[in-house]
Amino acid sequence: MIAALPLGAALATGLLDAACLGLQAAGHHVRVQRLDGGTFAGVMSPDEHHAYHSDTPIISDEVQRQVDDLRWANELVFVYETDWAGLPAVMKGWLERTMVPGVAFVLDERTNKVRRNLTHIRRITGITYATNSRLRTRLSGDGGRRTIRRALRMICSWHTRTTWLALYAADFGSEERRARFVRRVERAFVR
Amino acid sequence: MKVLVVYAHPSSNSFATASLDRVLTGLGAGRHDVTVMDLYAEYASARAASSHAQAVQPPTASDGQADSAKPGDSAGRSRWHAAIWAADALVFVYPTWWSGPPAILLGWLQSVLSEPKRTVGHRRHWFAPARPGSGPAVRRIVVVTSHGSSKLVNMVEGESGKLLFQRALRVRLGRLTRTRFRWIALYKIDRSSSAERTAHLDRVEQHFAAW
Repeated sequence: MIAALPLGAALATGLLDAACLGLQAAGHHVRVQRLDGGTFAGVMSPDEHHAYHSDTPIISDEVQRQVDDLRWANELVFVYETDWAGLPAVMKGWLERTMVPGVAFVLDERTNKVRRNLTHIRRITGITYATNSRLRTRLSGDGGRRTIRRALRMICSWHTRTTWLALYAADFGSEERRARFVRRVERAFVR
Repeated sequence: MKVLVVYAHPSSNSFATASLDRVLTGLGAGRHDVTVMDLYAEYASARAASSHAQAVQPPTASDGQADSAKPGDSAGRSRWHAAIWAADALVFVYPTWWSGPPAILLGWLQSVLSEPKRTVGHRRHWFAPARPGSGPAVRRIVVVTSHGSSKLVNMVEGESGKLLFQRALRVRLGRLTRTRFRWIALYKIDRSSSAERTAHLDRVEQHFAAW
């Protein structure tokens, strides 16, 4: 499983740990990819963009490692802080750089249409928290949820399930409320 | 009208570049006060500056910034922050990747216009933009983009990029009721004919020529 966490805040770290514990308790093997702290370049470089349209779209070891994990995994877990009602830029960059032709999808040569290629992914889980309320996030589009639950789901199998665990208005309410959410995340993987 | 054009595409020989040219042609020479921001050019110069700094002195915490998706130093950010608030109209020219703007544009927005952190006990009014001072709101937001897939597929995927500009940014920068939003998009670009692409570019130019 791959978790991509873009922030070193206490709640984010707690969520990542809870997800790992929950997954291991359920008997899964876990690989964690952290994108925060400048460890992963979030911008598709001009060279990469050029290579994207060639037969060898992967030109760096950094991306190759992500792709290896992506091929290895049966489930994807995304852990992030909602920013601008959507994905953090580095996670969006991860999608752009990792989900290249041949990995995430195949272009049909006859129709020039995208064919799904992540059919081995059985479940996608999103774990996130937002500063804004649920209503405000929804009205602003909730781009992260849409991108992962819908756009990413489109290139997975027809049978891929998605789970969404979100805490809204995370700065409000008691410490107990946040702790409850962390416990909910941990329990979510025991099925 | 003061117009800030934000452009994000890694290649200088792309459809987005052609769109940018037509935007600028449509805006016309001398009619408006136009500023163009090329995010990839800024990114390249920031990287060059950071690798130069690394060669001179040991790496510091801020060096990761050029590699992360949030380009520019704090001085650059405050400069662009001022440019956004001074503009009457914002134009974004980019290719849609993964149903949203490229990470470089998303990162730029997220760092230049970081979401106001709401603290306990303080509740802002819903549609009141967190503007510095009481300057005029941005009057127009226009997005010129292209999609690989069809309009239908984009609707199924949720059009999160469109909603980001149409709702989140419009509420943040202007007034939901007064700021006009226009979405000029070419769908199925990979399967489009050259006539369709030309028609789209003409549409872009016409829109801006009417300003």
